[in-house]
Amino acid sequence: MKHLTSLEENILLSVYYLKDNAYLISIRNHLKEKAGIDLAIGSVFAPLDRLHRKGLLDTVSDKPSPKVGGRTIKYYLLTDKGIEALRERQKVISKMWVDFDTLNSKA
Amino acid sequence: MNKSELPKTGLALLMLMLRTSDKEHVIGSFEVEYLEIYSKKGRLSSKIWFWEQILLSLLPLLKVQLSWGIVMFGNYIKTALRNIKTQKTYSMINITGLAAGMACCILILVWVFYEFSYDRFHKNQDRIYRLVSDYQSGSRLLGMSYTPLPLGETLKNNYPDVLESSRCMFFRMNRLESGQSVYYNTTFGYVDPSFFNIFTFPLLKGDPAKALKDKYSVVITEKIAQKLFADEDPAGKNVLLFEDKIPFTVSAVIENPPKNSHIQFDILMNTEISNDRRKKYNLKPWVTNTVNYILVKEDFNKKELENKITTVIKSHNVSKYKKIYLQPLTDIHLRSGLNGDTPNFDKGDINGVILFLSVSIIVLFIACINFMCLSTASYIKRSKEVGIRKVCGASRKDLIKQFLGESLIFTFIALFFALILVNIFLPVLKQLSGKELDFNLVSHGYFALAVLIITIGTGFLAGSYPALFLSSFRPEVILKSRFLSGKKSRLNLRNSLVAVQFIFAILLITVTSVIYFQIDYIDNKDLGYDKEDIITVYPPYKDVNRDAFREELLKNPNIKNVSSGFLPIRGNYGHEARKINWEGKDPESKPEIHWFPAYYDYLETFGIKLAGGRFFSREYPADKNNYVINESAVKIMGMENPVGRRFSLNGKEGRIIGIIKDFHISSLRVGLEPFVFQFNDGYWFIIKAGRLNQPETIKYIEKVWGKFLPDRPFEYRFLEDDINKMYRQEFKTGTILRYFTFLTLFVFFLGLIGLVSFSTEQKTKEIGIRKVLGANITGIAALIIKEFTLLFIIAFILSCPAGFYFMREWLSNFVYKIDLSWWIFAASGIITMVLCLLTVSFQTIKAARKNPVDSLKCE
Repeated sequence: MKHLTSLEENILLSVYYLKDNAYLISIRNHLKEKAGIDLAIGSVFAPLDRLHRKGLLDTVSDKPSPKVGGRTIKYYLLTDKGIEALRERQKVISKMWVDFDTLNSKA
Repeated sequence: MNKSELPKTGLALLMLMLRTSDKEHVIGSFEVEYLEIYSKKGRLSSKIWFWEQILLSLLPLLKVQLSWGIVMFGNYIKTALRNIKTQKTYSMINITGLAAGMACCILILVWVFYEFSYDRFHKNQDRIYRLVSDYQSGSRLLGMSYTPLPLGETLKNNYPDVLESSRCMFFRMNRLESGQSVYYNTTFGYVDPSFFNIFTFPLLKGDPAKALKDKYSVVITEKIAQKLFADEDPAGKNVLLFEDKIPFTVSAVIENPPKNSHIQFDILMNTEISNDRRKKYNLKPWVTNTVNYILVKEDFNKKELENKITTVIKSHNVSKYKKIYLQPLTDIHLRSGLNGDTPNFDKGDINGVILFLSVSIIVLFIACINFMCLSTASYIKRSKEVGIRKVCGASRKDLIKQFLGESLIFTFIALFFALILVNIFLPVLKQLSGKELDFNLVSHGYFALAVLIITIGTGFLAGSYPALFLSSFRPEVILKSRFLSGKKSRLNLRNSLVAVQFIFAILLITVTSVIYFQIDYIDNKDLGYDKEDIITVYPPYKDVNRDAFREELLKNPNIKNVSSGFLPIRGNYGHEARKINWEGKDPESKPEIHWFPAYYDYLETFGIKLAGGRFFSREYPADKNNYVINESAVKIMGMENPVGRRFSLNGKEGRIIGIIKDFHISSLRVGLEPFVFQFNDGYWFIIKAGRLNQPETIKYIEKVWGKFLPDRPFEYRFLEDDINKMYRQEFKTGTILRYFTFLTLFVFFLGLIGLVSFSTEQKTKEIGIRKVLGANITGIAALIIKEFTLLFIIAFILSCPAGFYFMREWLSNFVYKIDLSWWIFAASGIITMVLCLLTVSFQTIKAARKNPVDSLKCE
């Protein structure tokens, strides 16, 4: 399984949480609010596009929406591959982070 | 796109960095927040935010572009290669035609570059000039490379613009002796010591400042050093020069002059030696001539200097030099048609260069046109693919990139093959042209650049049409664009292009034929004398009793006759008969007649006829003071009953004893000239040999020579070879042109095959239907042939005036030439037409024989 960067992982998670409402702006805001990651629009767009190219995300173009100032909007969706990638990541995290609390308190 | 509130420059920047499919929603994202901040915090804050965003987004967005670019690039290459595989025949024809055209072009360029490279290896090449003059010789103004002896030095001493000057004279066929070996065809160069400051001929050994200081020192080339001294150090050794065996000391060894230098020499000496040897003629310095080269300052004023030269000339009263010019060093090889150019002078010709350059452009052009037609034709087949790409979101730019890219791939593949072809054929070209052609992309930066430009240019040019039209998103443009491949309108682009190719093909055939015929005419023209089987030997300084020599030679039955004198190809500049006078001459008239020395038996040896009187004869000892003139001389002197008249040349009194029928002296480029023949037992030995057993005859002559002149090498030439040498330039041009014409025609017909086969393929269904309805093969073939015939006729008509004009210009170089009759044009046209018809018929008949069932099957 190819490795995801931390940013890509966070973006995938954001798409998951935002469900039907995952588009460039909402994803960017989600990252800012939930993870404190404040990036330029282009810096969010690039990894989004990369994930799309890799097949982890799918795009759907929709009719003009006020959410993007009356322009056509592009929603991002998780593909099966994308979900699979998240699951793998979760497994790795639980394995790597097991007993972390215990570690913490000891230090 | 709706109007945006974002700052215009920033917006434009964004547009540049985004792909078409991303533009909308990404810009929308910018807009939303921009407007939010604008309404909350005002204009300035929003602008600051905007530009901050742009700066931070720059790199990521570019990365996106790059990644997609790579993906698409891979796709285009895959598609291109796949298409080449699918349409193997077209691809092969296309690449072959293109490769042949490019190879042709490159070969010619190699030659052209070489011709232009003459003399450019000198460090000061853009500041070196040769002084040349318009010289009054009789009533003619001749271009001469000679100028008065002291001119160069006078200029250097009086005008600060002139930094250096050197007198240079080069002579072949000189005697060089060292130890045991003797050489007779050494080229001597007489130069001033400043020669080394002007020209870049590096010394391998020795000091350029001191090399020619001593009058009796000599600088030898590596070649001579190797020949005379092998590996020993030549410095300080002695050589004996000239017939009088004067000792000279070797003071330096110089690199062999490169082949692309108009100055060629084996050894160099001080000019003073040449001056000493000319002292016996007692000529004043300003009347003696030499070749002067000067080196000028960077920003010198050419006009001013030329005016100053005129002043100098006038002040020394040398009226025969009507005007003196500065000839740039780099002009000498190609643009110098002057008399007196140095021997070993490999004269180039700017017209030849222009001719071949045009041919190369024509070939490339034809190859490009073929490429364009064929590739467009094949793109039509791919209309489905193009449609799908458009539907999947390809923009116009993407499609253009794809088509141009494919076109470039083709051209680079063709380039690869072209380079192979060039390497194979370069030795052939080297031999044909006699030049040291070198195809080295690495060392010749400009050349590599030119080749690259040609490749890319061809790719762009050929790919432009399909790229621009087929990528259009407006259906009507594409449908109408059938005008390249369609046949609806007669005057469509493809037809015009094919017609242009026809014109070039016909022109090339015409030009080649005319040159061929002219050369054939020259070869076979009756010159007024028999040129076959004449052996000539140049006499040594020590002379020989001509009659004794003749008697000995005639003992051999293979030798028909022996005589002496000038050769009929001597050339007719200089050698004016001076101070002519005859009985009844009008004191005012100053006719110009050339002088021709001849010995007994001259007329019989050459089979020249008399028009009256007799030639010099042993029976009349007084003939030694008599004269014979030719018919042209009689006319120009306006004499009646010339035989018997008193005649004097340079004060020598005698009588005219005969009139010779005119024969051609010098090349057929000039007309018949008036000559007066004076009895003389010097100059060339002329031997008429029998047709058979010539090697044995030559051995016999050598034996006899050895008896009379034991210490001279025997070097003979056939007159015919010398005659042909006069037209060597034309011969060479003609041969090379013929090869390139074949190549161009090959490219042309290849393209024609491709076009026709595509055309027939398009008509497959139509042909199938016609067959079903009862058409026969001839009828169907006629369909296609008709289309091309009209084109061809138009092309033919257009090509005639152009061909006529060019060939008339070229032929005007010759006084004696073929008639540019209509049948040459007709023949070229017919040949081209027949070849075209064969090509076309072959394809159409193949198509016409196809089973209609196969043609009409549904896809």
